[in-house]
Amino acid sequence: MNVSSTGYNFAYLNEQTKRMIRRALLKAVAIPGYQVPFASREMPMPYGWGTGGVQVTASILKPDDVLKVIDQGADDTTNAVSIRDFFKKTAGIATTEVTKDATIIQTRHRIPERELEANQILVFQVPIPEPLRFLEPRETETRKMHALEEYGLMHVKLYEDISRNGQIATTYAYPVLVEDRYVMDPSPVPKFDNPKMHEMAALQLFGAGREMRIYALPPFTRVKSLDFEDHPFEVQKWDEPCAICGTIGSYLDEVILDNSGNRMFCCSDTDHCRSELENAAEAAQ
Amino acid sequence: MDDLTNKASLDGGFDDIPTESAGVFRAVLDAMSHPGTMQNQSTNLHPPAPLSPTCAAVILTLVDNDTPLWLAPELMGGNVVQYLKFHTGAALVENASDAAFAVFLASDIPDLNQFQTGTAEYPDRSATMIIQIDGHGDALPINLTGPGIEYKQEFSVPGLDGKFWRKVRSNNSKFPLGLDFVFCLPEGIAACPRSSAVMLEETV
Repeated sequence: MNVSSTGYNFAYLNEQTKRMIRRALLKAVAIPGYQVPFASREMPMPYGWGTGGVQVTASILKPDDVLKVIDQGADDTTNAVSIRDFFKKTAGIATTEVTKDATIIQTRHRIPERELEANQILVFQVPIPEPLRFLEPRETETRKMHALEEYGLMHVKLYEDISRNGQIATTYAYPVLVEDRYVMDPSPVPKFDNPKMHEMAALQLFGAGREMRIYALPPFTRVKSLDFEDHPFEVQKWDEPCAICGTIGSYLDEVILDNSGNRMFCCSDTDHCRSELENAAEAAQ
Repeated sequence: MDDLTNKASLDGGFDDIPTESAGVFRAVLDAMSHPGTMQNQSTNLHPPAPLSPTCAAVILTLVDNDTPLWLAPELMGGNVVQYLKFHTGAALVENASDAAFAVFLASDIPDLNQFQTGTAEYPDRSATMIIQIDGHGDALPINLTGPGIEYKQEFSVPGLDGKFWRKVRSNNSKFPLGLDFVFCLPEGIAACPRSSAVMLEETV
C-alpha cells in the first residue's frame, strides 16, 4: 500500500511529536517504573480509547512491523479493530491476530497467554498511570512520595482491604514494585497477568494519553506484586475449563447467555482460544 | 548568522525522514532496553567529517529545537555545526549543564559531572550522552547487570578504558538519577542506561 496516498505522515504523528515521545520512551526504559511526563497530543479518538497507547505505537512503528491489537484479550472488538485499521491506513503496516507473528502488540487490559519473545514489544493503554492517585489526589505529593520511596500508604490500603474483606480485594490494576524502587500501576490488567510482567523477555511500554505519562519495563525486569508475608499475592483461579476450547489455566471471561441467567466461561484471549482449538483438531486427526 | 548556504552542510541528511529515523530509533530503543548489546544499523547519511554516519543518525533521530545540544570542541569546527543546526534546529549550548544531549568522541571524554542528572522528583530531566566511537584503542571488557539483562552482559567498546567505566559505575550508584550513554560505532549502536550496574575485571 502506498502510504503517501493517504496524505498522512508515516504513522500519523508528525516527526517532532515522535521525537518528543521517543525521548520520553528512552528515559522510561532507563528508569524502569518511573512515569515520564510527555506532551500528549490530541488523537482522532476519544480519551479512554487508547490515545496513549496509540501515540507510543505510532512512535515506535517501522514500515516492516506486524501489529496486533487486543482489547480485553480479544482481536475482534471495536477498539482493537479501529486501532489496527488506523495504523493500516496511516502507516501501511501489516497486521495480524496471531500473537507469535506480531512484532508489536498494543493491548488494553490484558497480556496475551502465550509467552512473549525478545523481539516483541508490548504496548499498554493506561487510563490512570499513578498507582497512588486514589490515595493521594495531589500530583505534587505523589511525586514526592515516589522521590522518597514513601509507599507506606499503599501498604495501608492493602492492609485495610484485608481487615475489611479478609483478603486483598484488588483484582485488577494491582500495584507492583519494579526493581525494588518504583511502585507502578500495571494498567488495569487482571492481577492474573501480573506474574507475566516479571522478567518478561519482551519490552513493555505504557502510554497514558489523557494523563500525559509514559513508563516502561525493559526485558527481564524484576516486577513484584505487593503483598504481606501472611497474605501472599495470589492470582484468580477457575474451577472449570474454557467452554469453547477446553483449556485449563487461561484467564476466563464470564459470558451471560440468556435471560434466565445461564452463563459460560471462555478464554478472554481469543487468539489463544483459537490456537488451542486448532491444536486439538490437529491432535484428533 | 551562520552561513547556511554552504551546500555541504545541507546535504547528507535522511532521504526519507519518517521511515529512516524510525529504524534508527528502534535500534536505539533496542540498545537501551538490552544494555551492552550491539544493534546493527546501517545508514545512508553523509555528515561532514569528523562526525560519523551512525552518530549523525542518532542525533538527527533524537535531537530537535526542544533539546539543547552540547558538542565537544573537536566537533565544533568544519561543517558539523552547520550540518546539525540545519538538520535538527537544535540550539548549541556552551554551558554543559544546559544540555539535554551531549555529543563527544571516545578519545576525549569531557567532565561528566557537569551534565544534568535530573532531580529526585524528575529524574528524567537529565542529559543523554551520545559518544562517537571510531574503533581505535583498546576495548576493556566489562560486565553489565540490571534491567534489560537476563543474567549478565559482556560488553566492551574500543577506546573506552577503566577510567571511563568507573565513572559509569559511579553514575549507576546515583540511580534513579544519572546520565544515559549511547555508543555510536561504525557498525551500529549500543547503550548503557543509568540502571545498568558496571562490573570491571578488577571487581569481578
